[in-house]
Amino acid sequence: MINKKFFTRFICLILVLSLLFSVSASAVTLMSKDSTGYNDIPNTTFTVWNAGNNDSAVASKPMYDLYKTLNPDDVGADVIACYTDITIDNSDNIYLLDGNAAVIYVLDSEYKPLKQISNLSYNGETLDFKGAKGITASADDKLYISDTENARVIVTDLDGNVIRLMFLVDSPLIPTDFIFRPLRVAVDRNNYVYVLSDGSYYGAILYSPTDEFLGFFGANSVTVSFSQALLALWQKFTTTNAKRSKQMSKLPYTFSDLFADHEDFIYTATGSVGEWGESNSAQVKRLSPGGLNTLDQSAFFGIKGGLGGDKSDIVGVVADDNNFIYCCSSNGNIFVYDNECNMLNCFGTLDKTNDGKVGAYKYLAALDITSDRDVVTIDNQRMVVYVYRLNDYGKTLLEADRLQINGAYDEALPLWKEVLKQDINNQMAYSGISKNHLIHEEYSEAMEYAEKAFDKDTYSLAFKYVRRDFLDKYLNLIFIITVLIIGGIVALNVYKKKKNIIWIKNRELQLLFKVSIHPNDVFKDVKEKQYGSPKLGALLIIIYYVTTTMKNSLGGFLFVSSFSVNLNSLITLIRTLGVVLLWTIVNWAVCTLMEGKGKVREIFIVTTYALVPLIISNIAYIVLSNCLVSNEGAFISIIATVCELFTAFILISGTLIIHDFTFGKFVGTSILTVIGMLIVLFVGIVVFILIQQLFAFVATVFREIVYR
Amino acid sequence: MNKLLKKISLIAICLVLVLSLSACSDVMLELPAVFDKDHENNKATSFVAAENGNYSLEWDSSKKMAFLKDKTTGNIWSAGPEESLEPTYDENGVENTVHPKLKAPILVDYVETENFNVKSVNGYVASLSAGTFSIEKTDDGFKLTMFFDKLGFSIPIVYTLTENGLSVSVLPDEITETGENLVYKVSVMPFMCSVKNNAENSYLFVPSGSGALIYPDKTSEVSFVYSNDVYGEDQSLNAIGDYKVGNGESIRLPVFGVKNKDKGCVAIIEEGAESSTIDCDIGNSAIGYTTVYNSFYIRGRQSTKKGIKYSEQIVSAPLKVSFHPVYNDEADYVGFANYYREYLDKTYGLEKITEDNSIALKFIGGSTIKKSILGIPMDTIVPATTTTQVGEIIDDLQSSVDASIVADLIGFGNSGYSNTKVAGGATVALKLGGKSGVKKLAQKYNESNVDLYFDYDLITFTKSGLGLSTKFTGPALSTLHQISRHEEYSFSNNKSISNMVYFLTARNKLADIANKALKAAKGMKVSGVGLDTLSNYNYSDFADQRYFAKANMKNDVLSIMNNYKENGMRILANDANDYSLIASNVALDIPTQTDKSVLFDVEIPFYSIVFKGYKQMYSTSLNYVANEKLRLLQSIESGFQLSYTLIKDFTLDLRKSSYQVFSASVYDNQKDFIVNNYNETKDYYSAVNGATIINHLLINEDVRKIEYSNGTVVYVNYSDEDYQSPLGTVKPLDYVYGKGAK
Repeated sequence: MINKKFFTRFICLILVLSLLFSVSASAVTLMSKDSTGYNDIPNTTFTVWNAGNNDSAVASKPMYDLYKTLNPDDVGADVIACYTDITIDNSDNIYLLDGNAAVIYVLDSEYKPLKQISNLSYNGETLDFKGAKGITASADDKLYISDTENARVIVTDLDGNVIRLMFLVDSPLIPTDFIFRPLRVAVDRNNYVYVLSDGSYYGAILYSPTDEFLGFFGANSVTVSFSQALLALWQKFTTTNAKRSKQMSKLPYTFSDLFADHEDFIYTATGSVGEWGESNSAQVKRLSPGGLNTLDQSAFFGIKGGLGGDKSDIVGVVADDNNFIYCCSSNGNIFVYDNECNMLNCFGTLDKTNDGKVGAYKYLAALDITSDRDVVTIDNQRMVVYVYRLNDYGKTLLEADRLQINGAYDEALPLWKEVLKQDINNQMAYSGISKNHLIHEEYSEAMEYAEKAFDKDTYSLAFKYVRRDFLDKYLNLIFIITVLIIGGIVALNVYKKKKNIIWIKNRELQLLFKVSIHPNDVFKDVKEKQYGSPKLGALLIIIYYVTTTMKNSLGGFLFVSSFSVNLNSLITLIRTLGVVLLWTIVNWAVCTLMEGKGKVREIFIVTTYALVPLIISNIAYIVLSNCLVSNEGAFISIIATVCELFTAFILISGTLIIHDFTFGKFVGTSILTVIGMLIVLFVGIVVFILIQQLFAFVATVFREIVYR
Repeated sequence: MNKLLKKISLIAICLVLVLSLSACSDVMLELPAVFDKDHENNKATSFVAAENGNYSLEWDSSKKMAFLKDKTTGNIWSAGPEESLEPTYDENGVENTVHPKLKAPILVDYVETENFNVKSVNGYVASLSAGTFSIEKTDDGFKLTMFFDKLGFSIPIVYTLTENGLSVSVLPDEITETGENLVYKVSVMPFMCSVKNNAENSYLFVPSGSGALIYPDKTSEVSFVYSNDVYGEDQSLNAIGDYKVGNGESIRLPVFGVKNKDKGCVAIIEEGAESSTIDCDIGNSAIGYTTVYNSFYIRGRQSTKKGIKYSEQIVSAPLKVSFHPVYNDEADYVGFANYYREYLDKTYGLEKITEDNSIALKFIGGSTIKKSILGIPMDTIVPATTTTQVGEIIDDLQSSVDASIVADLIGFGNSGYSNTKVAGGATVALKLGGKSGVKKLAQKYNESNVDLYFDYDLITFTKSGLGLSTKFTGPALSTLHQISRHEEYSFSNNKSISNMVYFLTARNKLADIANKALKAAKGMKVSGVGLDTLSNYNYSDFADQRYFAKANMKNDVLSIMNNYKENGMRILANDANDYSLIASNVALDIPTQTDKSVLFDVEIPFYSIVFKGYKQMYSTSLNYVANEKLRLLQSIESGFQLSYTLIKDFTLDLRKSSYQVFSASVYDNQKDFIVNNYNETKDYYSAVNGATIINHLLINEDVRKIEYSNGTVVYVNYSDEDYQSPLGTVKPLDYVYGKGAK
């Protein structure tokens, strides 16, 4: 039996450690002027720091200021029934479509009312476009009105003189039940027209300049997970055709907006992709004429849950001539991205509590940009137009980013420094400065800034050169030391054999070192000769816990998945000590019932000794992650996998020996052990909740007495 | 064993009894008196209630309205606009009906206890016209008690003639209820400060932030409504995390008014402003008038997951609003400001000041962040500025500019800028220099042109300390407690608690905490203390009826601030409510903009018109705005000197702080900006320092003219185009100034 005193001490130590590690305090946000930073109303300007798997929203200096608020009378209207879309022509005239009233309000580039377009006629017939949902000004100065309710696109000149009408053409490629309800139109410089129809998951309808139907363009694809595929297969075998026809099928998400850029690439915005918690990457795509997305497929647009806002429903997208992408979500956020999908800024906010503040949206419906990059947006519930203007900081940031993307690192450097002066939180600036140092072969500085930017790619490149320089300098020395060490070990072994010397005289330690080489022999000794030390086992758990924690905190920057501040060794403690103890106890309980011969002490020894390869793996990780670059990470993975397999092997062989089980019985008892562990966990949680409620009850009674 | 059990049980019972009885003696919460269904009505005939050289106060029994008659001008002021008093006729000779709201002395919001819905009732319709009221003469006026028989409550109000007009008080102590419906809010004389829809040369004045004007040019079948709490939202509501639209400016001055062509009325909420809202009812075509008025909360309220809950008891503080008619040149917002300043002078005493050219610097000490040390998440202060660095920055800046410095040390307590213990534990974090560091700094700048303040947050906390516990003394807890009892659901089931963002110092412990902070500040020999939250927070504490609906906050704060002053401490206020500003020596973060309601037409610097030349005031930090030029111009218009938020060192760890005050604060990055701004504006500030604003004109939508008492005139141009002023061309987003007025 394990020494009682030892066990008591061990448990006490663990309790103390647990208490120490559970120290926590919550930082809070006050609603005072200082704590919210930028004193602008409304104020939710931020950017997202890309930090591995731990993206975080951080305060950011606003790039845009609210420049103008245009109420109905400012656009020349008494009442706006409902703004449905906005477009801006080559002369920066703004066209505001009130689809419900079938009126287009035209403003000049100074945002002064210019005219209204309402009575459209074509071949002597008056065209009613009530219910129109979209309007687009093309590069050749035509307006394309998506006349949704009348299933047509009206093409006019900029004064509203109708040039032609576009309808759904007959084509065997178009399903017979297809309902044509155009929502948005994009027109490229060659006059190819892309029409987005309401509810169409086939993509945009592509028309030639002569209005011939060329096919569907750029449909989103359906991603099917492995479990969904399995489910489908199961249903195929178990359900009838009639039942299957009633089941919902997963269709591609439909577009919410289209935009043709100056290079005739088509941007598509897809509203909210997936349910909450699912990935909603690729909400914005830049499709080549061949329909391929040229943006980073994994890039994320909008706000993820937990980053300080609601999940984004992207409703509008445009891009400027420098390929900066501006998209907006219905919940009042406007995002600015570069063409490498880095978020530069997010501004705008939702008026959830109906405070009625200028600049806060009830429903942000669409946006467009002028040639000076004013962002013009419409709120189709408040019937207001908000115009944002790029401020000096925004101009510097966009220019720095543009220069960098074009490879003009030297020109970008002073701008990045200016950006950092005004917003020291700017991740892009750190990354830009790091790249500049890299091309100037200032690798240490490049690494320093890349680490600040959490830019692993640049860090890896710089580190490669630093390592190369180090090796160039010290290769001979390293080689000599390595040879000396290997030679020394060999010599020592030879000497040891010759003289029959035993370096480690302690039997338990001998056993421990032997476990990785001859696990069967070791565990036979444990079973038959009562060898093995629970104290050493406990020490192994502690070493495993410490190395696992060190792995997270001392691992090389290139291989950490997030900022180390998020590491909580309490979780590591549960994963190490908790699992080992739980396995030991439950396995003993299960195996006793299944005629296993192992005792608690033996199971504990087997389980803890099996950790030795994992400890070696952790140490190897700490060393190698500080020596290797990103693309050499496979070595670490291989070592980790080998060690994990070896641990499993030791555990299996040990368990077989101590319980005197066949392999089949081992598998069975192991499954039962895992189930048992889950049950224990469940019961533990229930008891914990009950105790918590009991304390809450006592506290309530106490408060009642105090406040009565 | 049995015997032992019996003993333990007996002891436990005794303890419970002793505790219960001792608790009972602490605070007595009183319910309103019971409504007498068989009350007697006393419908007096018309009479003159009071008279002085300027006005007479009369009761007109036929109209069932109180009238304030201006003897000089002959104007009549009453619950409704003067124009509505005379009958008007349509083309068929049929008399037009006057909307009953135009006759209402009060509008009442009440809570139906059956379903907790809030409904409104018009005092004129439900009481006066029904004949269920009584009138009782008082010394300078009369008391009107309105009985709402169908709803089961009565509300008395008192009209009092004053030297300058009329005051109306609501007497919460004399409100009676059957318990069927609970009086929640009373709006006083809702159309006294009103103007006809679409009237020319007229506006409503609302003191949101710096001040706002609303033109009566919006009409609709339903009203556009604006309503905001005076002195900001109840922080005990804010303490429970809720979504808010970014920053906001609160109402800091309990004054409002109306300009109706060549006459106007300015109203001051003299008592119970903390429990009041300022409301506007705009453009309702059925009523025909646009109005601004105030409402008093009669009950406390708390927002919970189950909706708004209301207290059983009613507020016990006096509630009074006074109205002062103004005419001709005085009938505009400058006139309102002058009258309000006179009122403040009479009530509290205001003295003119002499100002130097100065810059206010808010130094942020550091922030507590969770840092992983060997995998153990620990709360650690990350220093941003130490006390030594504060000295270095001040010295460095003063070598470049010849300005006085107001330095406010914020977030130097035991948890930095993060609010854990109240008042930062009344200590200084060692990493930031410790108490000795602050002491050295104070000694260094003693007798110099550096005015040093150490900031204490006396109100919010997240960890127990200085005698406050997060378990048992937070008023937000007791708030929920009282209100939950009203609904009789278990306190422990209230999930709102899990959303608690921060705790608030129990109101009865505020003075105690303030004393502890005072003792600490005196120990460090600083010349003054910054009282950020105290100077602008208002909150309820439902453990004591005196503190319901934020009541008596003004008195509590004034008492604390006066105590500080008696102990030789100077006071720095932030974003100050009027009473805090008056009690302080220096004020930062004074609003230069409004709350940006869509209903506001023009932003005006009302706050500065009232206080410029009487208090040393600074704008919000210029390095924390999206558009520095615009904010600089707003500061110029207001006459507020400039302020900045600064730190010395930024480490990326600070990015993990919940606060956003670090990213644009690094002194080395901001120094040129500060120096340039100072050099560009110092002559202007020299020209207006110590002067009061005697006139402010909206020349057009984007150009303003400000005239100072020393003859300085300033033109500020917010437009994109040049403006030709008598002093020369004013470039876009620029200003010119010179001598020219007196």
